[in-house]
Amino acid sequence: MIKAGAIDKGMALLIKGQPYIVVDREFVNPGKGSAFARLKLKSPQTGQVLRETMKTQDNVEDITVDDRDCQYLYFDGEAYHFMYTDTYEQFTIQVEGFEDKQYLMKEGETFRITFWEHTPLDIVIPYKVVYEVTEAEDAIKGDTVTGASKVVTIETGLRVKVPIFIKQGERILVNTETKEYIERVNS
Amino acid sequence: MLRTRSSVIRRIRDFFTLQDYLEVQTPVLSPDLIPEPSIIPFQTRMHHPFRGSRELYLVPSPEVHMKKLLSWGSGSIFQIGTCFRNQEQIGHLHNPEFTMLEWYTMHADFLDSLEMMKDLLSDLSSFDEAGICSRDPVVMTVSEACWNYARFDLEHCQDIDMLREAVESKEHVETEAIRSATWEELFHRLFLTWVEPELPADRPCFLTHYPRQIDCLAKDIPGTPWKERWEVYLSGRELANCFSEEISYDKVASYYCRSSVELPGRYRDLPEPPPLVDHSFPELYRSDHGSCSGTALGVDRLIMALTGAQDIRGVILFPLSDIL
Repeated sequence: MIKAGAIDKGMALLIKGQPYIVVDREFVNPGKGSAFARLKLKSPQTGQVLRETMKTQDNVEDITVDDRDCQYLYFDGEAYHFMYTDTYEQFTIQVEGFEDKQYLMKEGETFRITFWEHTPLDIVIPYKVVYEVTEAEDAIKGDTVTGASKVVTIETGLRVKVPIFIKQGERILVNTETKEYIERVNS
Repeated sequence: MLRTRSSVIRRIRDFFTLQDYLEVQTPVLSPDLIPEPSIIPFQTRMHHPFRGSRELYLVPSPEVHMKKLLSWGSGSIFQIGTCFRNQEQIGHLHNPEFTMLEWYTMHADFLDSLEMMKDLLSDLSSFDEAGICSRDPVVMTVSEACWNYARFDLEHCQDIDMLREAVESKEHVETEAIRSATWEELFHRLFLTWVEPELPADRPCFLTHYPRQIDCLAKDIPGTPWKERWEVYLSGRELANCFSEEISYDKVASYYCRSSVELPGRYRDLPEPPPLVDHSFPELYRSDHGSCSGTALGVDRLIMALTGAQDIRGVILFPLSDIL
């Protein structure tokens, strides 16, 4: 058990016997009254998002999770195939609840996966990742308007809005939370 | 930012001074406080070289001293000063030390103060880079907001069992906490989850007529479950809180009594004892006290709303954000 006031983003909680990941938490002190933690929780199994507000003094059941490094092999349309990097044992994670991850994970890369009693709760994607631009239209000659942008496709299939000077084959740094372009990476 | 902050504060000062409010400076270090179970103050000790030592508190609001001045006949007053709250989470909306504008208008009620707040926002429109403060505000009662955004009938949930049912129908967590929660806690669970995040964020939003079951020193509206109280939200963030101040001795004294009883429970898990209580405070209302309305406004949050800053650290100097 932990106090709701100690809850942080990324923690795992047990609610009515089901595990949830804290995706957002904000502390609120109303003009008059007790202090509260306003939470957004996501079920890794169904993708369902719950909104909850708890008194910071309330007790919540937190769960002990296990983080393991796993190599992402491929996606078969229904499930992600992974391999534990220490035992080389392979396993799958169903896509439900993790739909957005397919556009952020590159095959062959290693990710940290959070497990609770063998149930994968979260695939942790680093906050900033470098991706290659695989499809980009050429900028229109003479278009020199400051701040002009276009949409390109990166190697995972994600479409990202970028400045007009980005070309196919170049590498860009992307914020994986907002899925927004950060900067061009010169290799 | 430094220049904007300085100009906004100067403009606020001019706004009140031009309307004959007296600017006051009351102590930041106080030997006792009014009992407020939801606020944990910073405590310190004063050491006298020969007479031992005693506790002192950094004030969480200038209310006590300003109300003393009112009872001594100061007339309408305002103050822009530093306040301190302990045990609040440090983050993008909170710093333990913050700047508060507090003003009291004699012979006025909460609705007069609401007009004053609107005037203040429009007076600050030249600083409104974000274009939110100078838009026409929305004004609705808390009960209307609960119905509009959460389809929840607050007026019919004055009974704790009905409110608990409403919480259970909306929430997924079945915990001991809901069964043992007070009316105020249940209300805030609903309000903070389902109503507050939905309030209009593109213009000032006033919520009026707060439930009486949130205990405070605002006047009750006879024959209703409401109090003469409003709060205003800017960019979805709570900015100011206003009361028609309770001036009946009996009611102030009984609030004092209830809060003093609650205070020790709040300190059960804390290393320090509850703060010493200023027992002379209700006595201010023994003699005739003219009606008045008081408003407390977070100046840092106001500057955030004007400039469009998303983080309080962008509008204050030397924030205490990363010490823990």
